[in-house]
Amino acid sequence: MLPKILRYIFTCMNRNLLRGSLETIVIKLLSDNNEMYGYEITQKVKELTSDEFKITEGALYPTLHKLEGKGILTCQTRSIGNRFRKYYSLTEAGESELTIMLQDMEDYIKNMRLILNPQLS
Amino acid sequence: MTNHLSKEEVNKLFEFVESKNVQYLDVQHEIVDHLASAIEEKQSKNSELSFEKALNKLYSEFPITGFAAFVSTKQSAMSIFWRKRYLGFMLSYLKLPKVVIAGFIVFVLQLFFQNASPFNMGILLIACIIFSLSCNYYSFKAGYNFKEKFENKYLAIDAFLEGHEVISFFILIPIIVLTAILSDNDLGYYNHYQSWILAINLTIMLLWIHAYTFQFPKMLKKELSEKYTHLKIA
Repeated sequence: MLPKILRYIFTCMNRNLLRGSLETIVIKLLSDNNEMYGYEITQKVKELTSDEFKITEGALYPTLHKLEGKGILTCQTRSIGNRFRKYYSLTEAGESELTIMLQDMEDYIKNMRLILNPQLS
Repeated sequence: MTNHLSKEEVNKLFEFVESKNVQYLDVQHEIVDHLASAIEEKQSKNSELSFEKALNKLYSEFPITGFAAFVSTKQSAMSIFWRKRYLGFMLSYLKLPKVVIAGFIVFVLQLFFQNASPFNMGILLIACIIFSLSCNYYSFKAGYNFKEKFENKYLAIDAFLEGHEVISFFILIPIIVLTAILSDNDLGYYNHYQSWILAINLTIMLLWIHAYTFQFPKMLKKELSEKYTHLKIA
């Protein structure tokens, strides 16, 4: 019973951490891959983290829409098979946002390490 | 290699998404592609998996509210997008070179109000009415009556119209100021400060009407022709 509860707590913590970093992940992936569609982003994150991080649709699309609203992302629709697909890419504002976000994330990780493992510093 | 879904299966997805209360066509396209990509991927891993089973499994992974969160977050993001663009455009009148034009209009109107007579004020009122009516006529002729044509069909257009309504609310401020000063004084007799306030407020209103009639619809058309080519509404 206890391992199950612990696993649940860790999953929730993971999910919260992931949710907080989702914008950075999306912007970084788009910067590396030029353009991507929603489902592709979820799969790429799974692939890069060996299935450790799973981005749900409920988290990804609000983030994409929010970034599009802010003018950080733009999109184009193209025909694929019998349907249309929306490809997201970074705008110029998004490129400069990436530099700031990566720096913030690095600082955050560095500070978290200092708190969690003070003997390493 | 991944097999693409057939046309019938894609149509079933559209029907499914619509049955879950997603009325906007542009949003339907987005959700259908996501579902189709996931189904194709699941079927490529398990060729025995039927389309219906894959779809049911996928939908069960969505929150209990189904696609509602998807639609509402997109709606608010699109509204923010348009409000920022409207505000950005209006604020561009405070930067060069547009500030020169705006400043010139304020200056001319200030001179007019300072030296106005009841007769001149009547002429100004008629000119304003003619300007407003011409703008309305132009909008209609240019096919910019998006509300009548596309309301509740496309989120991209509904968000644009909603942004209009929100920003239009702020335009009430100069109208209130104008009304207050005009009703408090004898028509055509204004002091130095009143004439400046009147000129600035009337300029804001004229620039807003100009942007509302000529610029914002062009922005929407550009947006539709760049991002929503598949909807063929630009």
